[in-house]
Amino acid sequence: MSAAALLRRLAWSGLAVLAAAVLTFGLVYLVPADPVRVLVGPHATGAQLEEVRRTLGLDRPLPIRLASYLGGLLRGDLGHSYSEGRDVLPLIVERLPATAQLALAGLAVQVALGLPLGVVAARRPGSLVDRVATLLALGLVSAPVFLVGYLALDLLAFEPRVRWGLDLFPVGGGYRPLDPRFLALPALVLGTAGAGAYARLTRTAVLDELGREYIRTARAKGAAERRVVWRHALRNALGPLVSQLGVDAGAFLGGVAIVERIFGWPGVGQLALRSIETDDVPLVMGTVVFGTACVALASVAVDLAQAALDPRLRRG
Amino acid sequence: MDRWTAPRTGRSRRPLALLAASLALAACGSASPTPAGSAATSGAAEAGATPTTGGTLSIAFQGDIGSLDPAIGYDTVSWPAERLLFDTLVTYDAGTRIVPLLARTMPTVSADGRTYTFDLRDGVDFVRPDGSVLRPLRAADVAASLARLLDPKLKPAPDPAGADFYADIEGADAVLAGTTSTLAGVKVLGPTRVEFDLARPDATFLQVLALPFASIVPAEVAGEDTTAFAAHPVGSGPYLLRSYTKGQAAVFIRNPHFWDASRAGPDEIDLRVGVDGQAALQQVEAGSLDLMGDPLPAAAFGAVTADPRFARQVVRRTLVETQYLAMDTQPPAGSPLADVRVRQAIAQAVDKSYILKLVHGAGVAAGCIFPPDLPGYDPSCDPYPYDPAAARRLLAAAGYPNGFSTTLYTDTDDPDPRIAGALRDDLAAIGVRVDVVAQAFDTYLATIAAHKAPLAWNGWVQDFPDPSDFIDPLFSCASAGVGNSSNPAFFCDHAIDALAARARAEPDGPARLADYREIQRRIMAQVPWVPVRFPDYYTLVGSRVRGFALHPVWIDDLRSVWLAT
Repeated sequence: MSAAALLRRLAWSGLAVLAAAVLTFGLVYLVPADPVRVLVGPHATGAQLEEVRRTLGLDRPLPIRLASYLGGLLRGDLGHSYSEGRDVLPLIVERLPATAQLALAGLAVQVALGLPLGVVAARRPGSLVDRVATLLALGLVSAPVFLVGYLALDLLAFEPRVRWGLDLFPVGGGYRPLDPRFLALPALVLGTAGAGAYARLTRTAVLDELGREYIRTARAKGAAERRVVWRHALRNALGPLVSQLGVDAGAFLGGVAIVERIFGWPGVGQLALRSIETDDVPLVMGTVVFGTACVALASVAVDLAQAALDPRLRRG
Repeated sequence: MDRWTAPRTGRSRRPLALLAASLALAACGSASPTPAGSAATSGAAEAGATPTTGGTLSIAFQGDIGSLDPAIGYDTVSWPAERLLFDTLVTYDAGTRIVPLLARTMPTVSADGRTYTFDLRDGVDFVRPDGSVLRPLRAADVAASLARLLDPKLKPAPDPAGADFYADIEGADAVLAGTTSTLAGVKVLGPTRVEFDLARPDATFLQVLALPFASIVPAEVAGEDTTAFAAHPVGSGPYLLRSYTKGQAAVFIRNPHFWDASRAGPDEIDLRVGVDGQAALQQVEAGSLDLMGDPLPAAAFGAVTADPRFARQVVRRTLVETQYLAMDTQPPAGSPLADVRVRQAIAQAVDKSYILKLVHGAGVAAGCIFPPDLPGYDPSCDPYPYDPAAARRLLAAAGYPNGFSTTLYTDTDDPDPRIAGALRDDLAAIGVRVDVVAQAFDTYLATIAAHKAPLAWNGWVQDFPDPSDFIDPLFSCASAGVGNSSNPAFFCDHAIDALAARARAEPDGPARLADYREIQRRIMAQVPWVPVRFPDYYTLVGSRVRGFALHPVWIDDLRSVWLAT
């Protein structure tokens, strides 16, 4: 990708983030909720409500508030959180390390589970193996994360500890930086949730490649089937798989709220949930815009990676 | 305070509202009767044992600490934490009685009820987080701490509610307005003697001095930046802050210079935040956590309270909270609700015992306004027992033999919509057709404030245990205006306002409580509410925890807990 093309992609990504900000802003203010009332509580008089509203700038017309928010956004200012009394950006940034660990580990699990499952299914479409793999993948896709999360906590941490005194994983989850015992279960839950969809995608992509002529040529030349599938077909099927991984990485970095909530993981997702629960509009906006930016940047990174994988894409 | 004025997690500005909202959840597990074996105190069998010192006590909350600065921290996580670090002049005993803390004895109160004089304890030191002594407590610190609480220059801006509680102190207005930083009504009479002058007599004044807002801090360290002070809090309480990582945990260690050297308790308290209720419960069951800061989660309620293994670890307390059906007493012209007979008919149509079954018996049926732990509670007050036949006769007498249609508003948190459904069915039985509208909490509050809810399913948790805190915000003409959400019945009776003003100023004692019982009786005669339930709070405590009781004001009272060795 040329520098100009990269700049173009980045500009489009920026526009996408701005569009997301405008949409979120509209949604947040369309909801007939009054954050001020929740903020000041039942003892407050009408005058106090107005005072707080004025302090927060909520008495200004909507378009002006939007313009001032977008202006701040362009300067990298995500606003000031009502409930935390601090700027939004540092609040998000200080939670990023925890979320990044979880996101990376979750992606690793997703690939480790989803990729083989998809390839195995693609090798003999319609066979028993394919059907079992497909069933498994569909099960993973449709299992709700909150259920899998609590089941994992119960069956892999709590029951072994209470029944047999086995200290496999910390009971009830929790967080300790870079400690694999704490990271394992949330990563497993996050990864299995993504693995189903990833397996389906892998199956389709590999199947697609297996029908191509170069595969027939390779087989005709007597290449081992294992080599045909894993080296030739999979390598060429990587395009959409890397794209998907990039988008997932962005989404995970933007916060995986439910997994973080269940396991007590102090990441961006928990921050987003709390901002919604406290009607902290700037923090809601901030976490959404941050999540959008993560996905947008990840997709730019994916394009760069694609270019590296596929020489045909290297030109602008 | 409204019981729902807060999200279930995260920072709340209304402390008890937060726990009550989670309580609503706690009550929706699988069906189970109220366990008879649940105790009011942990380690009941060891009740006579002598508290010991040592060990690390752990407690986990879903929400985070709002702030460790007592001037602004105001939620169910911040208060227990603040009370480890700071002391107030007076506090509550195990119940709702006020006892001295930093004050040597209870204050002397002038005959007109406007002057309170305190003598402070000797030997109280402010201690820095690193364990070094800053300096001894002085009477001037009391004046400076109260003035700081009212200071409009505090950053970030303080909670309006915090300052509101102290508005009766002489000169509070001037400090609030920013024209002076000296609170004229708090006079230093000597190194350890301080006097409060009130603009008007107020029997609740000691109650507000017991709130953590009124913690005594060294003003020169506390300053105007509450974020900085919360990061390095200096107080005189039994613990020091060793570390705090936002979103993860705060660790408190014993204050080696604490003024009560004989006090026993854990060496360290590990307060974890961001912990899901179900995860916390598993940790308590597995023995890796001592206390869950939030109530028992819904899904586990039935299993845990029925499990004989936990019979001695389940702790229960009826909250100082009343849940009620509010009926608009100032409805638009032509509304049937304007007729007190119609309101009484509705009151007699509600089957409270069924609603208690809906929440697995977690609570007590409410006959009147004041809940059991509130001074002034009157167990004999139950003017409108369940009697659908009488209700139908009343409706007919009021001119509605075939009933009428109306709307009931509720918020969307379980079990509230289910309770609203039960109310609808009860009223249908007497011919009143009710449309239930469930709204997100803040929308629901706005509906009430706009005077658009004929019927509203609501609740009120004390700010402090005094009957005035149930009468003034809920039934005064001042709170019955559009824009206010605390009086959903829009109840306004100038005669009762006058009685309430007199009772509020009366000296504390049996005569005052008798007056409040009379006020309660007179309000109930006009039937603005159907009081339905005084809810229970349940929690599970670790097997080695001793001395833990759910406190009527603090809920989690970490100052009284110790660990069995």
